[in-house]
Order: sequence, then C-alpha cells, then structure tokens
Amino acid sequence: MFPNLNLPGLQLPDLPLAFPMGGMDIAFYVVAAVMLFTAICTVAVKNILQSAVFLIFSFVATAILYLLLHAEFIALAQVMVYVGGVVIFVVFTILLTSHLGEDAFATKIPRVFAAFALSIAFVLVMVKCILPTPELASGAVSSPENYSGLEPIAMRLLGYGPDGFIIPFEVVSILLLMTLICAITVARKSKDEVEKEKAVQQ
Amino acid sequence: MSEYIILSIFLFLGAFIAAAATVVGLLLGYRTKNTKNKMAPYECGMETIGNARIQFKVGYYLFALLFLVFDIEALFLFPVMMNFREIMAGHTALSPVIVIADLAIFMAILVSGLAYAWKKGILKWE
Amino acid sequence: MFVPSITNPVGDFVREMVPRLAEYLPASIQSDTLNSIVAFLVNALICVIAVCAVNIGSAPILIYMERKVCAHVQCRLGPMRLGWHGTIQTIADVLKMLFKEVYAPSGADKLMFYLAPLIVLIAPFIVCALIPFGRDLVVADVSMGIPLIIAVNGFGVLGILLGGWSSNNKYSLLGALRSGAQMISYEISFTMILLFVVMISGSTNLMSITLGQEGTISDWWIFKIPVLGIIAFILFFISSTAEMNRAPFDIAEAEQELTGGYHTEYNGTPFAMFYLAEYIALVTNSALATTCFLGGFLPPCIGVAFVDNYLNMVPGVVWFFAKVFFMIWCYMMVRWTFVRPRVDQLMDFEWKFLLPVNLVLLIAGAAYIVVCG
Repeated sequence: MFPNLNLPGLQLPDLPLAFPMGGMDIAFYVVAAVMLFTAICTVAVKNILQSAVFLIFSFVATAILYLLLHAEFIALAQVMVYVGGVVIFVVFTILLTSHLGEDAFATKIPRVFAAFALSIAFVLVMVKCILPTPELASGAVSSPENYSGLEPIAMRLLGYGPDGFIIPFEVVSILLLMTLICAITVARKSKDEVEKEKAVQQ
Repeated sequence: MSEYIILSIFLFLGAFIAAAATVVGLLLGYRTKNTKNKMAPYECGMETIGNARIQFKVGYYLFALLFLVFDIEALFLFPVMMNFREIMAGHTALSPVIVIADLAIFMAILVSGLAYAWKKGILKWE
Repeated sequence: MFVPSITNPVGDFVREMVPRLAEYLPASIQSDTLNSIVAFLVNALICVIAVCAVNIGSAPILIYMERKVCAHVQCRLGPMRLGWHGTIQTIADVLKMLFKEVYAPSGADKLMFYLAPLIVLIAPFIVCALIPFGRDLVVADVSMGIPLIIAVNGFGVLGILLGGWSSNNKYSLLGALRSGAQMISYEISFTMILLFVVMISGSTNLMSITLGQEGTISDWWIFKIPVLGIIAFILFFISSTAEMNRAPFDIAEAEQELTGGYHTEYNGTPFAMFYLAEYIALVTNSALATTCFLGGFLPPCIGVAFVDNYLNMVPGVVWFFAKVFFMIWCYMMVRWTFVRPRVDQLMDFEWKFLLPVNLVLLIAGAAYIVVCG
C-alpha cells in the first residue's frame, strides 16, 4: 500500500517460545483474562461511575483482542466509538442522575442467582453456536494480507455488487438520524413546560 | 504487527509515568495533619451546601449524543475518504457517479439530522 | 512474523551489535531468534526513552516559553531572577511541585481521584508515538494513524470528566462538564478537518501524508489546494485550540468564574500530570498541524536549486521542531491576544458556524478532486 516505506528491518521468524503455545496465544489469554476481570468489575462495583471506568478498560482489552486477530479497523472502531464515544456518553448520562456515589444498588441475593443462571445459559448458547465454525477447529488465520485495511473496507462498503454493503452503509446514516431524533424528542422540553417557565420568570 | 506491540507499550507508558509521579509525590511530599478545614473542598472559603455531585441539565446529554452520531459518521467516512481520489480517477471497480450519489445521500441524511436539531433549538446553549 | 519498526540508524546499530555481544554468551543459549527479540526490546526501550525525553523535557521549556511570550505581549520581562533570564525558574517550579503534599479532599472518590491523571496522560503519549519526527524517526508507523489519534483523544475527555467528578467539589464538576462538552463538540470539527486532509492526501498514514508533500513549499497541503488549504489550516487551528482547552477557549478553567476548573482539588504531582498532559497536547497538536499542513520534516524548498541544496543539508528533525515551535508560538500568541467567549457563544460557534463550514469545506474538497483530479 505504501511503496515508499520499504522498511529495512530484520525479519523475525514466528515467535517460537518453548511452550506448547506461541507468543500470540499467551498474549490472547492474558488480554482475555484482563478483559473478563474488568468486565466482572464493571457489573460488580457499587458506584456506577466506577463501573464506567472499568468498562473503558474492558473495551480497550477487547480492542487489543481484535488487533491480535489482525482486524485493525474493528479495533480502531472499538476504541473510537466505544471508548471515545459511548463511554463519554454514558458518563454524561450518569452525571444527569442525582444521588450518585451513595449505595443505591443493594442487590438482593435471589436476583444474583437469576443473573448467574441467565449468563451461564447465554454462554452455553454462544459456545454451541461458535464451536461448529470450521476456522475455529483448524486454528488457521484465514484472512489474507491487508484484509482489514482501509482500502478493501472502502471497496466493500461502497460496493454495489453481490458482496457490497452499500445498502447497510446508507441504513447506518438513517439509523443515526433516528437516534438523534428520538433523543431530541425525549429530552426536549414540551411547549407547556417552556410556557410555564416563562410564566414563572415573569 | 510490531507497530502495535510498541503502541501497546505506549498505552501503559503514560499511565505508568503518572502513577510513578503520584507515588513520588506521596513519598516526597510534605505532610501536615489532616484537619477538617484542610480536607474541606475548596469553595472560596464558603462551606459546601449539600452534595457536590449535583444533577446536571439535559443539554450535556444531547451534545454527547450529537457527538456520538458524528463520531460514528466520521468512522465510516474515513475509509471512503481515503480512497476517494482513487475512485474518482477510475482506478477501482466502482463507478465514480454511483459513489458520489451514495456519499451525497449519506451526508444529506446526517445534515438533515443536524438541521432538525438546529430547528428544534437543541443547539442553543441555555 | 513481525518486523521491528525502528528503522533509523540507531535501530540498525542495535540490531548489528546485539549478535556480536551475544557471542560472549555460552553457545547453548545463543540463537538468532533470541538475538532479534533482544534487539527489538532494546530498540523499544530506546523509543520509550526518546519519547519520554521529548514529552517530559518539552514541558519545562514550554512553560518558560509561555511565561516569556505572555510577559513580552504585556510589555513585561517575565521571570528574570533565577539563572540567565530566569531559565532555571521552571526547574525550580518542578522541584517545588515534587515536594508538595498529595492528598484527596474529604468525600472524594479516592480510586478515581488518583486514576484520572493516569487516564489523561495516556493519549498524548500514544499520539507522540505515531508522529514522524524525521524520515526514519517514527516509533510506530501505523497505517491508520489519523483515525487512531482521534480515537485516543477520547481518553483525555474521560480523564477530565472523572477527575472533576471525583473531587467532590462543585467548581470541579462544573468545570469538568463544561470542558467535556467543549472538547467533544470541537473534536467533531477536528475530525472533519483531518478527514479533509485524509481525502486530499489519500492516506491515513502520517508518514505517507508527509511524503506526499515532497517538493517545493507550494506542495505542502496548506498551499497545494488553492484557498481551501488555508481555510482548512485556520479551521484546524481553531478547533485544536478548543480541543486543548487553551485560551481563548478555556472556559473550563476560567479562573475568574470557576477557580481553576476540573483540577481545583488537585495538588502536587497529580496536578502536575494534568499540566503535563496539557503541554504535551500542545506539542502533539502542533506536530499534527505540521505533519498535515506544513510539510512535516521536509525542508521549505523554494524551487531554486542553489538554495534548496543548503536547505536539504539540514536534518529533517531540525525542520520538524522548527515548524512545531513556530506553531506553538502561534498558539501562545493567540492565547494572549484574544478574549475568552462565554460558554453559550462557544457552543454556538462550534455547532452553528464551525461544523457547517467544515461540511462545506469537505464537499468543496471533494468537488476539487472531482474537477482537478
């Protein structure tokens, strides 16, 4: 893609660390453990703003997982939309609520059990769905070089052929517009309220 | 890949430096007794009334949402814009006319969202 | 599988030296793989030290520069007592900062209070690792450089919001929220301008954006696209000033109204970290402006072979930092020249003027590409 950048670097072979696993596998397990730990902290912490902080770390760890899969653009989207957008949005939303930082969330025991049962059932369903994937069994990286670069993504995104995503691309903008209109409708003061306020001021 | 390995080192570097500086400050710093007045939040000498974590108006929420919408839009536009010149020059399989029409619709829908917010007076800071 | 990305002579030197030194080890543990991993780690360490030196070293210089520029704008002399023209003053300030007491006020959320400076400092270091300082001086030559810079900018906003909330102070919270709202609003126009740059240069990699400006001074992106380039540069300048929370867009810290904004309750080294992040952001934003508009590390050639030969003899790093300091000087002059707008004027300016203008600029740029190729 960048012909000017023939990096005269020293080529490293596959990281053949003397384990049953390669370096990438170790990195995967470490990052996945961090992600799971922060995700558990997100739901377990009492203060919602603290759980938003743990959510950041969980999202960053997920982004690193995507990077390990060579999905650069998805990792970038994860950081840009979730860390840079959604978490900030969540923090703003949390600050809208009052009585933060007080122990507002004392969960009752039966609820915890129900939550556990539900999440375990969900995990089982996910495992059942993912296991038959052929790539998973072989463990081979199926994506060719530069598969997730910006150029192929643009070609697929704007492509109008059978493998193009032009309709989803347009639907995204409609979805964003819908979000905007819904939020404005919910948050905007109704006419009565505005008039009431004016009356109070006068 | 090695770029990202170095970048992930840098992801922790800034945090590490800040943590180290905080620890150094805690170790070297001059200590005084934690009196009530010292620990009180600084409010120009006045006593704080009520909880400092007050509720905020909904305007911030709407601006955060607008930001989110445009952030996602920019994310989608990056790959498209990067290849815009190539597509226009006809070096790709895509037809320039269709791409332009496509982008025009995409932008028009989003701009209409902005225009709606403007018309409803959301962009006015009160 | 992966290539160490340090491609400068120093990196080559390390790669050459490590195998030679390894010969002194017992033969049983020698291997090419080990050598290259060690060389990679040594190179990474050199990168880390270099970036730390640039980042942490630039803060005292910039504080000194800011005080001098401010003083001379206001017909004062600035710091003069300590050292030659007050040069040791900032070092004394740093030392003083180290020995200040670090404590959280009562009612503060301790975990988040100490976590906020950490989060704030993440973004500037990553951005600094992405910027090409010279032809072979870039830490991480990532193909998606510009979107990554925009993505990590979110950490700064988060750090400020958390710092302000955790302090248990109304001024801090108000400052943090205003600051957050301002930063996210201006980040949109910041992103739009960078989209414009990506569109005209056809790349998101900062190195290829720089190399696309090779040639004379008229090949820089600011001049290459007539009129639009200059407009884009001015818009970038405005939105990056607001992004950094610098005056005249510093309503977040407005000393007269908010006693200091989100870092009111911070003292000692955590406070210094917020300050450091602000000054590194000044460097990185100037570096970004230099890379995207002013030709990065390329010399300002004018097309006359005799002059250009001399200009090309100066190393790229020198040109890069000369341009960066010129940009920083511009930011400082703006800071001490203009008055601060009100918060509603600021938001109106972004959403009702800057963003529409940005969209029009983007469309005009697209039209330029369609017409002129």
